Amino acid sequence: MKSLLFSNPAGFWALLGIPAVLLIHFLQRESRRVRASTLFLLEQLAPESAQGRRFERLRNSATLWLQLLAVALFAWLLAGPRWLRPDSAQRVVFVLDSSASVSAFADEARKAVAEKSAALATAAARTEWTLVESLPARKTLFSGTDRAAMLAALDHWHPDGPAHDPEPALRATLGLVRGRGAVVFVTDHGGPVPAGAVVLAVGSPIENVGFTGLQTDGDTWRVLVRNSGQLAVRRTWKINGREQGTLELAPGGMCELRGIFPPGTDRLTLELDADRFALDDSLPMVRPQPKRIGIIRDPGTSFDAFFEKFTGTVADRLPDRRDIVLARYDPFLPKLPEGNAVVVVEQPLEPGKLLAGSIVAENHPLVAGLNWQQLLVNESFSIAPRDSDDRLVSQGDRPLLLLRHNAKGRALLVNFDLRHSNAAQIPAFLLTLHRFVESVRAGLPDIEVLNAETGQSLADGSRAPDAPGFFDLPAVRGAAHFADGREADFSNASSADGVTGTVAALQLQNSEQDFFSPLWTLLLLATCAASWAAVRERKATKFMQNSAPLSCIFHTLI
Amino acid sequence: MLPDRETLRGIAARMQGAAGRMRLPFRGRIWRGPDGSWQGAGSGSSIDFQDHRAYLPGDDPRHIDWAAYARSGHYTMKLYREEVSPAVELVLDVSASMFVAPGKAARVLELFYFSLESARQSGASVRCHLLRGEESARWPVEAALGGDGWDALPWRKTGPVLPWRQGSLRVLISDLLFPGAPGPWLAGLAASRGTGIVFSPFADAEADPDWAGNIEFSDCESGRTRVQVVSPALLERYRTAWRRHFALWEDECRRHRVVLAQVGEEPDFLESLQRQALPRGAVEMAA
Repeated sequence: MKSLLFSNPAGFWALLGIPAVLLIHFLQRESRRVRASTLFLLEQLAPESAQGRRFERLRNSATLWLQLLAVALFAWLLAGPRWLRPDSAQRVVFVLDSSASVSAFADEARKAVAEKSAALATAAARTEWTLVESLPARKTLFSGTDRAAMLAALDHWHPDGPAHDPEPALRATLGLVRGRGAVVFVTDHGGPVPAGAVVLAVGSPIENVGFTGLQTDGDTWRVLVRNSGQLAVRRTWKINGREQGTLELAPGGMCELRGIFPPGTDRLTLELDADRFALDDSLPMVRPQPKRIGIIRDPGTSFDAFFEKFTGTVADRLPDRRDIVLARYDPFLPKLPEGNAVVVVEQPLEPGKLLAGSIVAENHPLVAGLNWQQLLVNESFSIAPRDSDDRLVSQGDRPLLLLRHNAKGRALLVNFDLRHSNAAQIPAFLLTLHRFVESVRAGLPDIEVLNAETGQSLADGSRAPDAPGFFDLPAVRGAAHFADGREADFSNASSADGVTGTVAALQLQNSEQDFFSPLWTLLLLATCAASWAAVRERKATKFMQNSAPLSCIFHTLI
Repeated sequence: MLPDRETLRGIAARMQGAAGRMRLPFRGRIWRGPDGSWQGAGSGSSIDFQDHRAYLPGDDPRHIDWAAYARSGHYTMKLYREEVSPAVELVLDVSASMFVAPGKAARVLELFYFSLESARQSGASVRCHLLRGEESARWPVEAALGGDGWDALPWRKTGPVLPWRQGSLRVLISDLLFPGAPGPWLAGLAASRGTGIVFSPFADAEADPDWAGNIEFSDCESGRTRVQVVSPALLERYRTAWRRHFALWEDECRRHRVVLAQVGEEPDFLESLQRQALPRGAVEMAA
């Protein structure tokens, strides 16, 4: 069965004309004066003079009913009645902004989705609902035709992610819709979206004060507190639930809190008075315990000075552990150390001329993104590469950096003599060495205790939790705190509704015009003509004298 | 009170034609008055034979039926019907209510000039009177035909009985819209063996008004105002009161042998007379 819908429901405001018409007819004869020759008859019937009222009782006249009918028909035509095609189908995708700032408006967003989905559901006989988050890594929350289930799935939406670009998610969902439905981006601020998608923004500028950064150095900690709002505020702050003092912050102002971990206490939680954006109102922290690494240098090499200098730049070392060996490669005693090592070729003879050919870096995590074009290397002995080696950097056919796997670890082979090269002066080489050391450190079995931002990638490949709190992972323990200042700033939050227009467009797309519209139009014209004729039938002069001004205007109009 | 002279003359001219189609009901009645062309009450010198009777001393010997004397040897008088001119008293009520609506005012003057022309064309002896409440004034016929002088007449308080002529036809043109009892007026019309006819013009807006809601009524004669909410029920009661008012007049007219004809403002004059006055005997078709 076809469903009736209206392409312009605002047209029903025209029904306000009905009380207007009634009011006109109430007032119509308010001031009528009659010169009478039979007053004596009237006085016999009603001896007491009844004073006139401002509003007289409504008269049941053909003109009144014709005018009411005309107003009703006009409102009906203005509302644009259409019949929904029974075979119409659409897909509606709600892309929910995963940004943490939306959490301040989550309830409003859920209400808006419920309201707009109800409107969108009227635009087609069958609707396929999809609920996804704007962070592509997050799984689809709902897909199906049950709108109630879709609304229930909104409870699984927890906007706590970092600031990000929603465009990839929007473009992906636009491909799902293919013009037969709508893609609605639910967020807390307006902004450009790809063509075909619409914004449903539910935000508004709100006041927010929160923690925005943490630094620890041994037993001491420093925390920044920022007022992102437009008003000066006063907040009390607490450590582990105990009040510590009051902060007064000007609009946009910041202040620093600092303290130390008490002896025997490795965990603290700082709190501020709660406001609407809760993620930055608490800051858990731990006393950091980094994973330490032991670096041993081969003694008596030609590279002692370089090795010592490099070792000094590596943080958190253990002096008496052999996690990495820095060694030389003697072409006359070709032997590589077992386990993790950095091995540099030592050229016992005079080096040859500079190597020619272009330098090519492989797509490997140790060298990715580094610029090697400044590297100059002289001809020297080399370590013969194996098929199992990872060639990291080559010049011509000559491999310059190799990664070789052995039974106890990996060796980074520097296949040229540092003394006859400028490698020690270029950042790419030094960064590669540090990357290698850190990769070895990450592989150590020790447990690291650290403070991380929410959702931060950790060295062992895991991620810190998305919500502030303490975490305990197999290789990492610590505390995650919210520190995204962009998400904590609500000065650009706003509201926007692009759905209403989309609903109208979809209704037009999925419906057909009321077959009787021409008939209603003709009926309206006939009603107006009949009303006009009925008015003309009265004596025009008498009417104009006795009618209230509003009535005259109305009749002049029709 | 009355419109200007040109208007009155125009109506008078129009009514000359109407009086040729219809006239006041002179036929079938016995009239008294000077010689004329209408059947009188006594014997006279017309050619219409009336009766025979024995000669009495003093009778005009010219009317002795000599043929009858030859047959019987007795003097026998042959009597012929008397022919007279009827006397007509034409009374026009000129109170403000008679001219409350243009249609009604026109019909009032049409009735007046029709009656005047009808009497004149029938050879009647006419007198015109204007009536204003308890006062009346004589309006000379020539002045009335010319539409002159009505605003300078000497008014006298006469009450319901005007100086009628004996046996005259009294034609009253009045809307009868006053609260008093009709008896004294109708008795006045029938006094002195007179014959009374009342033409009562009315406007549609009086008989069937479209009043509704708040209305400020202004009495056309006294200027008195009255604010009244007119409901459909009150309007219906008014219509009933209107009908009852004229039913009362009609009863009284029957009792005093006065003919009452209500003449509305619509349609045209002759058709109104034909519909509303002819069946009641207030007018008759002209020969």
